[in-house]
Amino acid sequence: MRIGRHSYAIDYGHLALITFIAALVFWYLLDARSVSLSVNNLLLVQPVAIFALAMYLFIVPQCFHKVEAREAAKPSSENDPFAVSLSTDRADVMRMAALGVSLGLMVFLLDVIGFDIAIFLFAAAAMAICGERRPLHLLFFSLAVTLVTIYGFRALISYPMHTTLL
Amino acid sequence: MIDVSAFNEALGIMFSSVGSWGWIVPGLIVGLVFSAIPGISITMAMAIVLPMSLYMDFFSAIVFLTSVYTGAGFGGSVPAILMNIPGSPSSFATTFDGYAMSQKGEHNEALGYALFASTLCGIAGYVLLLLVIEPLADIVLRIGPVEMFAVAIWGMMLLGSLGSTYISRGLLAAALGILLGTVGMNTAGFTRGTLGLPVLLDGIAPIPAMIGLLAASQLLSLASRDYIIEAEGSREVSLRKILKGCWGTLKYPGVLLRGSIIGIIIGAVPGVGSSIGNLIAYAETKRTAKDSATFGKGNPKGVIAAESAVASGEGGSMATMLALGIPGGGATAILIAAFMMHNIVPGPSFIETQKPMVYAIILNNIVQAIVLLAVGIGFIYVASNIMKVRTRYVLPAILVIATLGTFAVTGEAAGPITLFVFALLGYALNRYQYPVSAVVVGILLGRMLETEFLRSYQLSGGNPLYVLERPGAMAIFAVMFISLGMTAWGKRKQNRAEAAEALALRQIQEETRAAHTTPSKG
Amino acid sequence: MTHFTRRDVFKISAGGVAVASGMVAMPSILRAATYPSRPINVIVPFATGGYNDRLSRAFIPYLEQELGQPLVIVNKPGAGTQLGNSYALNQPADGYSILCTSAAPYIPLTVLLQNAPYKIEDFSMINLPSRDYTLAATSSGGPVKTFAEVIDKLKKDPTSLSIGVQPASADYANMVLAFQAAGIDASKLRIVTYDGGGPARNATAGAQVDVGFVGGEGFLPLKSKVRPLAIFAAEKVDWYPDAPLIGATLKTDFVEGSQRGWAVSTKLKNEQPEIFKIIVAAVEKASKNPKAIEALKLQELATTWYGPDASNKAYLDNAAKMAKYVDLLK
Repeated sequence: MRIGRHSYAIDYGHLALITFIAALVFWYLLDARSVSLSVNNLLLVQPVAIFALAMYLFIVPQCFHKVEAREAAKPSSENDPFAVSLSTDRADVMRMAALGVSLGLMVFLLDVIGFDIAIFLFAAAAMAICGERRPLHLLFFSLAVTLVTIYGFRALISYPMHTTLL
Repeated sequence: MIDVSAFNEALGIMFSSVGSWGWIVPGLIVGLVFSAIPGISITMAMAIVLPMSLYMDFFSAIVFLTSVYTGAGFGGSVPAILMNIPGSPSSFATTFDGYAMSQKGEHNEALGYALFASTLCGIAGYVLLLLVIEPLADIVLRIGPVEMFAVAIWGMMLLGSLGSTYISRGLLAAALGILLGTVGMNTAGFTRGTLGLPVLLDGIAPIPAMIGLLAASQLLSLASRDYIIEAEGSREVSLRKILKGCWGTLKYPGVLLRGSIIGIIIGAVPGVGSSIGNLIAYAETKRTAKDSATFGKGNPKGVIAAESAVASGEGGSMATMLALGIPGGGATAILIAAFMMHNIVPGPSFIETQKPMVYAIILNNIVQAIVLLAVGIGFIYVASNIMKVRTRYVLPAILVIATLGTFAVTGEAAGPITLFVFALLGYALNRYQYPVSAVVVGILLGRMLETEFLRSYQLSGGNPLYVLERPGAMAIFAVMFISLGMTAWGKRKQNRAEAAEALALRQIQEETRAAHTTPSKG
Repeated sequence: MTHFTRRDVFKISAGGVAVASGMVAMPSILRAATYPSRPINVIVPFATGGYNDRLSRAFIPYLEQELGQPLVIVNKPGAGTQLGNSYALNQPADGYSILCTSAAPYIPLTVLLQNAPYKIEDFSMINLPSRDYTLAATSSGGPVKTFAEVIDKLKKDPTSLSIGVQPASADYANMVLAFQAAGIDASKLRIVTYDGGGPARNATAGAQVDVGFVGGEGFLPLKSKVRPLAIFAAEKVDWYPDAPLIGATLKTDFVEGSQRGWAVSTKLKNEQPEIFKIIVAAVEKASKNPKAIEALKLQELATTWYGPDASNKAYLDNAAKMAKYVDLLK
């Protein structure tokens, strides 16, 4: 993108994330205001939400980098002790994404196909994603995880768990 | 102060019921194991064993339950240190330096530090409790919303020490966290942001959200590693190193003392529980430390500060429970139920009429803390072996356990779904260098901030001068500002000294350059 | 309420299928003849350690004796009992789920204020032994001595005393009704809201608020730290005899406090009357068991037998009164 004499690179992912957050905050503020305009309701929520939206406006420009400047500014993970350095290697990202997707599938299928089957499938998938290829290992370890966790948690908690086979 | 004849009687109870001592070790192990499962908090561990204790006699039941309590207080720090998953909110601050240490291959030492800080401060908390149980109880009841609001603000100050590359991103993350923490019905009965889902009426379940946010950044990224620690030589499990960590704790009496005081006071306040004490203790220790820059990168003082506040908080919470019959947190609510199930109602009359029993319970807790040392070393020795297992086995198992742990929190799929949604959010935030910890702090403290701020407002009728009528609140704010001011002052002095040093260094360099007339790289 | 998630639909349909298949396999009389043939779940819509939890745990051994099957407690806390109540209604109506809950005022409140996806009549009471009443109290060292004094002070200056109360509760309704009757302008009061009886009681005992309006039973362990000013009951309350009745100071209508005990779904009562009778008989016998009465009394838990008819009437009366005064709660 070009504005004036400078050309800018837009970090679309970042822009999407903060816009999503800002939209969420804005919706929350509207939802709270629709319930009641009483101070008892908005005392903390309203100022914090407005503050968050102000921060959004402040951060938006950070999503646009001058092309030259971007090359000069190397990300410095050293400065931030709490930042987790996520690998950007393509294969690694694929693995993490795959694991994330399988976690999501398990979570949403727990009640549908039963905790036992969902856990077994997830354990096997996660092992495969982490590099296990031997079929017997996949089968038996996943089975072990399923049996131990299902029976273990059933003994611990009083909530009924929906299972298909166990 | 202590009542000597009652104390002697208490010793009598202790020794005449030696049979109940047998429950200490099983209780500790149950507490350690349960609370090491991500999602199972101290409260839940106790709720699980409560029905069991019904079939014991009174003293045995209390010994068993308090042993679970003591063990669970430490157990949560094991997954926090080894895998960056806090078992419950009370071990959140332990992850900051504990996990950093274990990534450097110092997990043995980190666990040693945590264990010793936990036991020493646990004992300190109970000894103090023995001395001041009654006056403390009266003070605790006087703590009102303004004071609590001051405490919550103090907890938020932790954000200052979460230093991120971009301050603006840290602030946005914190604001988001606070707003997420206020979802649901507030203390005045207004319901916001629930999307019509009944499960959200009580707000977003903090434990699944916290595990999701933190797990996304860690667990998912483990997928590309073969072991939790990459360096092969660092994966060893060494009793010598654990003991070295234990012993090393004694080098930081100041940190232990500060952590204990913060922990006891905050633990004693009803309704706060232990989830905030560790944050404040960590932030205070970091701010006052000379080497504050190394916090978050594996400074043992960070681990000690967090653990000492958690452990001593137990004593404080127990004081409120025994003296007033009021639960300081979820765990003591369970203990009260256990008392009642044995036809004993804790509270002012209990402490007057049954002082020896109260002392016996406190003494037994001190014994438990000592026993925890031995049991704890064994436990961390076994638990650390997880470092030697390949991630392809650890990761699926941990993710399944965490999912079921969050299921145990809510009793339905809402827990695991919260975990997943927040895992996605955590991943995105990490990707763009937003401090996930700031969101967690916001979620943990948002509700308390709103509740106490609102009550202060209601109580004062909107008059800010009301704070002048609350000396306690003024004292807390004063301590906070003085501590901030002193740190700023100290930092300035430090910066000046560093600037002077840098200047001197440059002069030396220039002199040498002038002497050699070689171009320097600057 | 139209907010059905896919999960709910699934659950309901799954429940429906289970019930339907059960009915096909066994006529209702036969099912009653074999009831109970497996452990029964007791759903407590509160966390472990609360009154209902303790009540259920203390009472269960005696109920097990009568039913001949183990009882398993399922704690389902959240959303002012709405989560637990919905959960109970979603279980098959086969007598294997019983509720131990604070039926009134929680069920009416969730219906009136939270749009809960059920009706007040969806629940049928078996017995509600525990009856609680709103107590207006102050810290034992506080300057206020009587409820008349409270009214005088507030009449002169509505901001002179701060008041602690749980919003959207029977206590709140009683507070508003009392002040209306006394001619006090409620909009100017300094009302501090607490999200539960416990915190409101602590605030009262610790003199953080001048007067607290909270369920009286919970005050019993803190009795020495508070001074009772008025209890919102028609007759002397046997577990708090030194609390002056509200009627002595003020002529006002009031709502009764929590009514806690045993309930089932109305669906069970209508579709499986035999099983319903078995449960009622078991609860009655257990409630009248002298050992149970003695054991529960020691834990300050109630065992009084009122029976399904009286309990249902009390519950519906409370619901009607709540509906009448619902505008005060919003």
